[in-house]
Amino acid sequence: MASEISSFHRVQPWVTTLARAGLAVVLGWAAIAKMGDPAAAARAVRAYRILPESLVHTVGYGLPFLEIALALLLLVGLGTRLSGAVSAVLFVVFIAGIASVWARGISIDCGCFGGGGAVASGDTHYLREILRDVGLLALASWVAVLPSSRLALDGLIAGGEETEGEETDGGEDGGVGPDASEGARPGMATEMRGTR
Amino acid sequence: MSKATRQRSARERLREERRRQSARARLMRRVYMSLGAAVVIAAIVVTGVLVQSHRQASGSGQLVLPKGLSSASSGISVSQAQFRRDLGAAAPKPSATPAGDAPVLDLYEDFQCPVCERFEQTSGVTVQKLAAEGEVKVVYHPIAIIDERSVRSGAAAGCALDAGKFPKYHDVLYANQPSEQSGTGFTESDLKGFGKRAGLSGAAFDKCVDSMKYGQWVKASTEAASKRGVNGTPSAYLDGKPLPIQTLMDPNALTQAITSASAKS
Repeated sequence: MASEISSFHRVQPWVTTLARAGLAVVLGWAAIAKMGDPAAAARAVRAYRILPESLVHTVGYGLPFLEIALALLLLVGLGTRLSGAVSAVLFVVFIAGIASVWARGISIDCGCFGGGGAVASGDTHYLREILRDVGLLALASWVAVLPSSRLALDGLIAGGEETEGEETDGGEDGGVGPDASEGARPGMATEMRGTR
Repeated sequence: MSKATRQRSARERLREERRRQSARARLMRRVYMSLGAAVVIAAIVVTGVLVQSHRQASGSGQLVLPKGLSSASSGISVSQAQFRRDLGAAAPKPSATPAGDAPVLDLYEDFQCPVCERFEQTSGVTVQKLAAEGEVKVVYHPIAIIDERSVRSGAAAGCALDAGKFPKYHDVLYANQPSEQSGTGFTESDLKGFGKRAGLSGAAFDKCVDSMKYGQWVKASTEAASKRGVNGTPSAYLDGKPLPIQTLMDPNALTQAITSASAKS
């Protein structure tokens, strides 16, 4: 019953849809930029001096593909909760990495650091990057905690009965995909037959 | 309990059972969806790592080192004599420092890097004069951290080294550095043209530039620099210790650092 669905529950799926889209664009963009030059990606990982040399190349080569996979899943809305959660973990790792080099006084961006960016002094951009990643972490966390959204494959596959974290009756749901009402009907029909 | 009551509770139990079953089915669908997503992620990552590793391995040509270099990380040592020759009349008198005591200055530069160009403009002559005096031994490490043209220009510098004209060619490249935004410059013909300006001529140099003979060396040198701790350019080490970029960019601070390093040894 529409009156029982609060305005939050009406708006939430759209917020999640927008969050999914935003994350997909950011992750996809970052990934594609790194894929063209795998050697540079590996050097970028090494510059943080956190991982052992043996992992530098694997992570350097693999990280952009993790990002593109997450971007694709978030874009089509498949496995939304998982993609959101993994993205959130990824951003936590990035924030920790930047904080670590900042604390150790390692300059990652002095002079030219690949990609042609010329920065005279190292420090100020660390805070900016951490703040950016905190924002992305917030988006990813929202998606992980409230994964129901519109325009998502999850909705089609689950047959419109996605009611993540909600205690609603039968087929009534917080709203996922066009099949929401479809999914409820068969159940109701059988119930009605059963009562005859 | 009346028959109607029994029938109603039976129907309720049935409804309850159906609700439980559909909830289980929903849960299983969600689990499969997450598993499916996890499989997609793993597949893409593994494929990506394999593809990139293969690209790196097959893209490497034969590693050929320019004349006089013992390894990819050794860098280009320019002798005091060569600095004196290149400065000509502007060369300062040799200092009293015994040759063995002069500290070693390792300079990591990318020919396309604007900050390196600024360094060469502000401190470049200071470095050359100190080296001509015998106060410091300079080792240049051309690396490529920006793009393919960095590799090409670094490789051409290796060709210039073969012809004994590295320092002049190095200076000509910086004097003609393309702007970052232009997206052009440092083409094969540019690099060959700069050779002429540096006093290089002949088919050997041109062939060396065109064939990217030392391209692998530049890439290997870049990797070695990264392993050493070079995160950007210009980067410098004085007697093996990292030199802050602020010191590097200031000719007076740089001179002070070099002379105090040679006083210590």
